[in-house]
Amino acid sequence: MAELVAIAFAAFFVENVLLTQFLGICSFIGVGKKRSSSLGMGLAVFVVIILASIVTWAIYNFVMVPLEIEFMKTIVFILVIAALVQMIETIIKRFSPSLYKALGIYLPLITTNCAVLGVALTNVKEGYEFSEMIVYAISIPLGYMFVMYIYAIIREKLEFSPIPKAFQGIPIAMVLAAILALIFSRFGGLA
Amino acid sequence: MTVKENFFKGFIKENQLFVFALGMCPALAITKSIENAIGMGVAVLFVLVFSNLLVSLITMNPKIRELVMPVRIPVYIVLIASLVVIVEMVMEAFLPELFETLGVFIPLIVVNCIIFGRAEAYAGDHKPLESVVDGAGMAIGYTGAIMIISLIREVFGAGTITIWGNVKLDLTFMFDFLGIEPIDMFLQPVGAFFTLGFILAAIAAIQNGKKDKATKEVSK
Amino acid sequence: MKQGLTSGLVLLILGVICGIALSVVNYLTAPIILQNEQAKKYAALSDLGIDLSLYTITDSSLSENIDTVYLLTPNAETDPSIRVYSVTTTGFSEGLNMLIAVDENRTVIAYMVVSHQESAGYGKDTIETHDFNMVGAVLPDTSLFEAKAGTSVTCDAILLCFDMVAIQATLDFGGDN
Repeated sequence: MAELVAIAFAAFFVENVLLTQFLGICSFIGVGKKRSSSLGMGLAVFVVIILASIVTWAIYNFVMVPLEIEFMKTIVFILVIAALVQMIETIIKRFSPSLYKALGIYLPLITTNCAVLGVALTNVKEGYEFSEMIVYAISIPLGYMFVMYIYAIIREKLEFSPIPKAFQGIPIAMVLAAILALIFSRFGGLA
Repeated sequence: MTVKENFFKGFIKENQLFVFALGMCPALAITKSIENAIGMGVAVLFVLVFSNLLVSLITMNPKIRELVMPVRIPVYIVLIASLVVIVEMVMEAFLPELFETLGVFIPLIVVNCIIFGRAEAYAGDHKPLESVVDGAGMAIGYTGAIMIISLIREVFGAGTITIWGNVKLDLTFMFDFLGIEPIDMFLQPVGAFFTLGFILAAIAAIQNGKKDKATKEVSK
Repeated sequence: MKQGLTSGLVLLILGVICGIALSVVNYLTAPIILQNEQAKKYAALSDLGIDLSLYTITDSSLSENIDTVYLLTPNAETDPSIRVYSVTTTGFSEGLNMLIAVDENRTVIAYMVVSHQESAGYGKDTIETHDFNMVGAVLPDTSLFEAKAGTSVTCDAILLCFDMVAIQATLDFGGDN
C-alpha cells in the first residue's frame, strides 16, 4: 500500500507529467489558455490514458512478451491508442451528444499527445504490476489536469496584463511554465 | 522554388521549433547537453527523411494513391512508427548510453508533430527528391534549434560544452573568474522553459523590429 | 463495403511489410543489445580482471550470507569454471561489499572491494592501498590473510567476507574437510 501511495505522489507532484517529464507540452501551451478548455482537455486525456494504459499493458504482458516481439511495442501502442481514440469518439458521439460537444474537439488531438504514449511506454519499462499500473495511470492525468488548470487561471489573468510586445503569446506562456516548474521542483525534496 | 531554397527554408524561415512551435517536448526535455541534442537531431533526421521519401513514393503513383488516401492517417502512423522502431533498435545496440539518456523521447518521435506535419503538408503532394530535401532541411533546422537551447543550458548550467563523448570544452574557468558556481537552475526543468521562452521572445523582438522598419519605409 | 475491404487489405499488406522489415533489424541488433546489457550488468566482474567473453554467465542469489553468486561456465571445455561471490559485511560502517572469484579447487583467483563506507584516512586507505595477500589461498584456509595494523575492524570485516565465501564455496564445489 505504501508503495502505491509513493507511486501516486511521485506521479502527481515530483515527476509531474508536464513540468518535469515534459510530456504533452503542445497541448499545455495551446489549450491551457482557458479554464474551461483546460478541464475539457484534462478530462479527455484522463479517460484516454487510463483506457490506453490498461489495453497496452495487457497486450504487452499477455501477447507480446510470450511471442517475444517486445521490440514492436512502440508501433503496436501507437496503433492501439489511435484506434482507441477513434472508438471513444464514435461511442461518445452516438450516446452522449452533449459530452461529445464538450470533449469532441480535444479527442483527435490526443493521439499525438505524447503523454498518452509516454505513460504506456513507462508502464512496461518500469515493469509495473497491474495495481501499480492503475495507480500510475490515474495519478499522471490528475497531475496533468491540476497543473493545466492552475496554469489556465494565471493565463486568463495575463490576458489583461501589460506584457512586453516581444513576450506576447508563447514566450510569456513559457516563462509562466518556468515559474510553475520552479515551484514543483521543490516537491523533489519530499520524495 | 529552387532546390537550395527548398533545403534552407527549414533553417530559419520555416524553422519548425522556433517559428511553428512544433516538437517542443524533446526540445525542453533532452537539451541538457549538446551531445543529447545532436543524438536527438540525427534520430529525427533519419525518421523525417525516410518518412518523407516513403510517403511521397506511395502517393506518387495515382493508383496506389487512390488506395491509400482513405486510410492515409493509419498508413502514415505505421510507416513513421516502423522507422522510429528501427532508430530505437539501432541506437540501443550501438549507442546504449545515449539511448539511456534520451530515454522515452526516442520512441516518442512517433508522435512528434513535425514528422506527421511534413508528411501531410508537404510529402503527400511533392516528388520524392523534393520531399527528401525538404525533410533534411527541416530536420537540420530543428537540430540547430535544439542545439542552441542546449548550448545555453549547458554553458550556464554546467560550464561545459559536450560535443560528443569525451570531446568536451571546459569553460568552468569562466565561473571561477566570476567567483560563482555554475547555475544549476539551467539544467532543471525551470531552465528549459526559461531558455526556450527567452529565445522565442528574442526572435519575436527581431521580427517586430523588422516589421516596424518595413512599415516605416512603406509610409515614407 | 468494398471500400472498407480494400482499405483493410492495404493496411494489412503494409503491416506485414513493416513487420518483416522490423524483424530483420531486430534479428541484427538484438544480440548486440543483449551483449550490452550483460556487459553493463556484469561491469563489476570485468574489473576483477576476468575476460568475460570466454564465459557464459548465470547468476543466482541463494543464501543469507551471499548476495549473489555468478557462475561463469567456460565456453571452451578445457578452462575451469569460476564462481564469483558478492558478499556484504559491516566494518566501521554498514555496506562493505566485496567480489571474490573462486575456481573449482576453491582457490581464490581475484577479489576486490566494490563499495564501502569506511573512514577516510583509516579503513579507506587500507582498502585502497593494502594487499591482503589472498590470491592463491585455498579456502577455507585463510591463514595467508595479511591484516594491516591499526585498522583491525575493517580488516576483520574483509576477512569475514572470505570466511563466508569459504562456507558457501565448500557447499558449492564440495570439500574434503
